[in-house]
Amino acid sequence: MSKGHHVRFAERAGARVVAGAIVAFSSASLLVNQAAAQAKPPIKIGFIAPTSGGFAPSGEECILGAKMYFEEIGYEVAGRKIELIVEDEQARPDVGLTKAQKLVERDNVQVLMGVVSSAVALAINEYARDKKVPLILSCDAGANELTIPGPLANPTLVRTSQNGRTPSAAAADFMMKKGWKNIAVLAADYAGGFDTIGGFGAALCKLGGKITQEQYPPITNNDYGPYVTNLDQKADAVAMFLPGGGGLRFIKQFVEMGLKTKLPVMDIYGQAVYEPFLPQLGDSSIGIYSTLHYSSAIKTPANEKFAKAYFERTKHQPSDNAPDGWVGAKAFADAAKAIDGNVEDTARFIDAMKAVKFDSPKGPIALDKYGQVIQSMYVRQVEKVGSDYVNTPVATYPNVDQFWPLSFEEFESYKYRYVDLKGSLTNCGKVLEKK
Amino acid sequence: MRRLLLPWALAAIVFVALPYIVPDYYVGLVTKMLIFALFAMSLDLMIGYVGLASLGHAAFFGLGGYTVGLLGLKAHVSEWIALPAGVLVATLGGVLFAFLALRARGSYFLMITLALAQVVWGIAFGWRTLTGGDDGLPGIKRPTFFISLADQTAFYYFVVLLVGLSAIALTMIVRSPFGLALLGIRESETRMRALGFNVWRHQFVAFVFAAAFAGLAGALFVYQNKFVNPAFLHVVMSAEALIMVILGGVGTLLGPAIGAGLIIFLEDFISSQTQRWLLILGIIYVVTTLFAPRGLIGLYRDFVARRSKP
Repeated sequence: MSKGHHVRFAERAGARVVAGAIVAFSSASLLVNQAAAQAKPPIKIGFIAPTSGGFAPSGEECILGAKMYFEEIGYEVAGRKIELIVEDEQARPDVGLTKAQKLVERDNVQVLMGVVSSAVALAINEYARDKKVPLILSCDAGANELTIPGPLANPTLVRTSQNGRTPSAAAADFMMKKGWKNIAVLAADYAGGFDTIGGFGAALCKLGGKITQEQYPPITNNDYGPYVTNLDQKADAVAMFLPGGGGLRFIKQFVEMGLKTKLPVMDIYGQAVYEPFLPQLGDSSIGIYSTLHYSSAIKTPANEKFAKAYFERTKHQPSDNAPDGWVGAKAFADAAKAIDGNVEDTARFIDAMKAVKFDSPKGPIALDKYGQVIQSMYVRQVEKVGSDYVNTPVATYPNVDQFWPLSFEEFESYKYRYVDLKGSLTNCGKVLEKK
Repeated sequence: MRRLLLPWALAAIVFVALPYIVPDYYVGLVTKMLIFALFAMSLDLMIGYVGLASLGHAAFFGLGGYTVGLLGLKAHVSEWIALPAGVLVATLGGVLFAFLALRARGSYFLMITLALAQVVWGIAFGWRTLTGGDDGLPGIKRPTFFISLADQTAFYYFVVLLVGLSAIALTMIVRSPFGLALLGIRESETRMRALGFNVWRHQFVAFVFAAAFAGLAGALFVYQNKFVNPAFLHVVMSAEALIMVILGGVGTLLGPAIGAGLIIFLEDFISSQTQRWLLILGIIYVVTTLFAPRGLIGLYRDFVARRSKP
């Protein structure tokens, strides 16, 4: 290869022309396919969710949830067929954006749906806003700002899944009611962690409680021993948000050091007691509290039917992702039906989305004027039922909106955003400082 | 001479005519291919001509991108300053990294570049008030250079122009006496030293050039996507560039450019067809390594050589 620089002009350019021709030909043939569209066209939904990489389990469960609903209605609404085109976002923002462009510009989808990673949601948001394509966030992507008036707000975006702060507020309220006023917290050291634990701290301060200690392990941390040893044992309880296996490892070491009998644990968002992890945790998971907008053990006809159907297909209990996908699909179909399937009229479709109201496995669903879901929050506690471990709901906060327990005005009146409060959460004066 | 010019003229026509032939989406995809072609070519300058494989090249890509994004979004600086500043910051990053990394060779060089790039990634990830942490910086505007490049077609031509000029510049660098000296260093450092060449200085200059072009690619990619995120300077990005170079053909400039275009196209195309796309891409890489160890360009050359034999 020492003669690398002596490449002849002709063969270099030849190769480039071939590459260009391949692109040109393959796209020309796709154009022909598109021209053969029918008279009454189907509604095409571009579903963006990770099916590879670390987020794949959440993505696949969310896709399955949506498919289960579309199967119930025979993939048809208001006389139009529903076509679901799934694209793998790989939890990489640039890939997610390219996929969104592909879905909108090549496949001509009328609606974008799904999205697990918040970074991907932030990347797609601007594109969907420019193209005026409805974006229904129906999977995990929970960045608070997306549905709060501000620079990121998007009039064509709705979110039917969740946001970052509401399970935190539920956790704070429940712990105060239990009489646990001094809380030691742990959160993973990244944007989602600060958002979640900041929301918890603000709600706790507002209710008269206090955070006594903050710890931020790196998101890829393996050894939680030091964090367990450092834990403030004078606190009344521990609250934590450690996603992606971190919570699981923390609980194991927490139990090994014999702290479980001394300190109650609140797992905000149920990351450690995520259903697939429960068999690994075994008996050490019993008694752990968590907050989330779903539990497979909710005793309502809607959920029992859904959980049973889900179990028959997958042989395991659903986490929150499958019902989230199901709710997104139903909200879409209900809205499409309300406007006679005319989803191309973006403004009317979004208005119809914001007007949907129905019962779901998660509980009653409605949307606020910003497009964020109003739903129930559940405090769950791990129980052993037979040989299985289950997150049994022990308290319910029905129909709470994204600012609960605050109003929008009160939420906006604080000086610091949650992510800016890292390291200052023990100081309630700063947390609640007004603008 | 006419035979040599014809393919180039054809290629130029294809690139100019492309937006009139294919839908908008493909214009965007080809823009992405071109940007990664430039990124891969800049890395090839390191691997193919200096013989130093780096696992931290995305750091310069990201430095260029973050500079453009921050200056545009937070300082409201004109793109006439922001884009050159992006290249400049990447170049300075290259100077700093070169001082630290050029002490080592082989896998140690690989490790040091990886570590340095992770430091930059860590800063982008951790310094929330400046970089937005892992949310990145959304809402970056496309630039206006005489005309607005907000439209994808206009931006495509801008990228064609800059990547084309960069490719010519890179070709001139590797064909200059300096480039020949680099090849000599790649083959035998001790011999070149004995011949009186300052080996370290040559490597240093090549490293800085590679960083500058990677910075330009990163700045263009941020304008293309309208946001910047720590993923842009993550080790995965560096590794992807490395695969592009190896797949296309190390030390050929055109090869890595083709490798970049092909990988971007395959990632997009296959991942739309099947959920098992990673498996298929993996098989393609393994097959290329087994049957075309000198990359696609090597394969093509063997083919031409075999046909021209009687």
